[in-house]
Amino acid sequence: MPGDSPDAPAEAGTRALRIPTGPCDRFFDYCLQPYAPRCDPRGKLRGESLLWSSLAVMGVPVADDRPLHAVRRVAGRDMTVFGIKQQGGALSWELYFYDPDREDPRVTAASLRRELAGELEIVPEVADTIGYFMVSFELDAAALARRRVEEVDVYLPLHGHQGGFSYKFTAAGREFRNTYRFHDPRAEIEAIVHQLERSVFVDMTRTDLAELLLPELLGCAKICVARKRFADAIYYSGITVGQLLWFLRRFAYPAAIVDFITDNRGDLEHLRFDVGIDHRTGDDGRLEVPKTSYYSTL
Amino acid sequence: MSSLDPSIAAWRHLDPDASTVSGAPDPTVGLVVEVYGDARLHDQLVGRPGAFARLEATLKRLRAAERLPALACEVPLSADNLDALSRIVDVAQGLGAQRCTFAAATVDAPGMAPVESVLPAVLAALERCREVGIVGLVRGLPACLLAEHADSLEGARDASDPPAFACLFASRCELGDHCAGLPTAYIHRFGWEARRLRPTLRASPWPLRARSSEAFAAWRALLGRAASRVTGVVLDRCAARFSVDLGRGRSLVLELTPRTEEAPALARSRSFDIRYTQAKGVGGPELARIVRAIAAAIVARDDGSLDLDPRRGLPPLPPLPPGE
Repeated sequence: MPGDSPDAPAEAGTRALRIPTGPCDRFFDYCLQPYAPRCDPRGKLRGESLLWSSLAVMGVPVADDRPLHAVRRVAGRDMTVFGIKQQGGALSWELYFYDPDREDPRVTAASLRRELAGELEIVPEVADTIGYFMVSFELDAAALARRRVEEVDVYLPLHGHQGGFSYKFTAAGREFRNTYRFHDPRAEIEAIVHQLERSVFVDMTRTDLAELLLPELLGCAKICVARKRFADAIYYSGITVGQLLWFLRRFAYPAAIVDFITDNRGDLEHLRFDVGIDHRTGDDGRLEVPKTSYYSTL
Repeated sequence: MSSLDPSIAAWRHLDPDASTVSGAPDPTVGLVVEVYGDARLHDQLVGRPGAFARLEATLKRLRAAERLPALACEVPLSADNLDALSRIVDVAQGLGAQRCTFAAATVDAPGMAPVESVLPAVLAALERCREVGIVGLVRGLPACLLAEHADSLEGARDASDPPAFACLFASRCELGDHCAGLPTAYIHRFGWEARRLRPTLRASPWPLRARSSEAFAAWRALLGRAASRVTGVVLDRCAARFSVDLGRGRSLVLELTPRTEEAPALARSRSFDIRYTQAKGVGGPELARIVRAIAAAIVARDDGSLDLDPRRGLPPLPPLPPGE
């Protein structure tokens, strides 16, 4: 594998895929909640290795990594959650910035937009006076090449419960998108099942609960049930690398992505990952999965 | 696999079609054979005519050679042998088995049957085991469905990754410590069985999750001798927090934040402001002595290589190509 050096954007034409851990590494889930690594992380790989590997698999030119390195220089190491999404056979990447307590003035929507200017143009303006707890934006290969973000998602929190609402911001305006509600699967399984079984998109007379609530992933730290405009979704957080591999195979991710993680499984055992699955009933009455995603930190 | 005869320390699967049993006789190792049915059904399900006769002959030969200190039968459950389970117990008795384990399929197979079919047959077979004096065991079914035979479940934590078993009620059920639930392959085929399962409401606390004592090793080392008393480390955006168990019910949380010159702190090391919070069971001069000692250890060991600045050490971006 080329590189093997941490934080190595500078060498033109090469992309380090296997990024080694360091003593200052912090470990966060996709809500930027800290966790203790599952085993000694020394001599293993950082979660960002999955990001670089996916970019390589999709043939993204190394030069187009530049906005991602710029993001990390602004937000800091480990402080950006990335999601790798598969929809319609194509991969895209979403970056999430959490700082609900405004602990870091450089990780606000306005600050990111300002500090990334020149490296990544974020078109929509989001006022920091909005009481959001997170913002995100998606980048596909074309957007990375253009270094331009046309849409920003803004997430407002629920009161008294982990979860929230998201809104899409564009240059033209803003619109309501999704709702998210997080649950502890050990203590709140009834609430999870209740939400999954009540859907305007999934015909539960034709769908078994086990198609939505996957037994291989139930053993996780948190489950989030989401309502979206055209589908429902479930997210499992804090899963192991074995569970991640099961997920990637079940949802037919590119073989090269699966192979990279399989080949490096022992060096990823210390990490926890997060995955998401959108679902709805298709015209033929069978369950469709229009989009899936997996997450780690950059 | 548990042993019933205290002189049996281990069990080994026997391939009855193998011509010989290798190795020296070991009176502490029992043998396990798979039995799918009586002679006709066994041959049919394994797909080899004469297989049962060879099994019988092999066991007879081993017994004659005093190489069969104990025998256990394992009965793979399938839709094709459920009606025969009680008869299979008699077959196992005839073979000289001390134990009979009814093993539900853990991978998807054509013969996988729903618990509503499996359960009555297995419960009847366990009764038959009791009648003939064989220990009856079950593998791969939820304990809560076995009713008075719940103790017959071969308890084993599912350590596979991803899990091979799951239960909607695992964390809520008192039986969850030794019952793994249903095979995931079963759940995909027949569902979670949410209305059939009968979890026993859990009253006892869950065992604490094992934590790697080597996680954040460099951070733990900062505390010197007190590192051995650290029960947990949390590194978040702005702080490193160490849970320190001082023994005899005394504990505190030590907090390191990026060094300042003005924020209140117990002490300052090269990279950190040092504080403590949540002191329990300790106070006054004793607390002061303890936290001063820990802070001194941190000050002495902090060489600047650890810090909480997430931007430190990140290399500069290369210059943009000409024209951009």
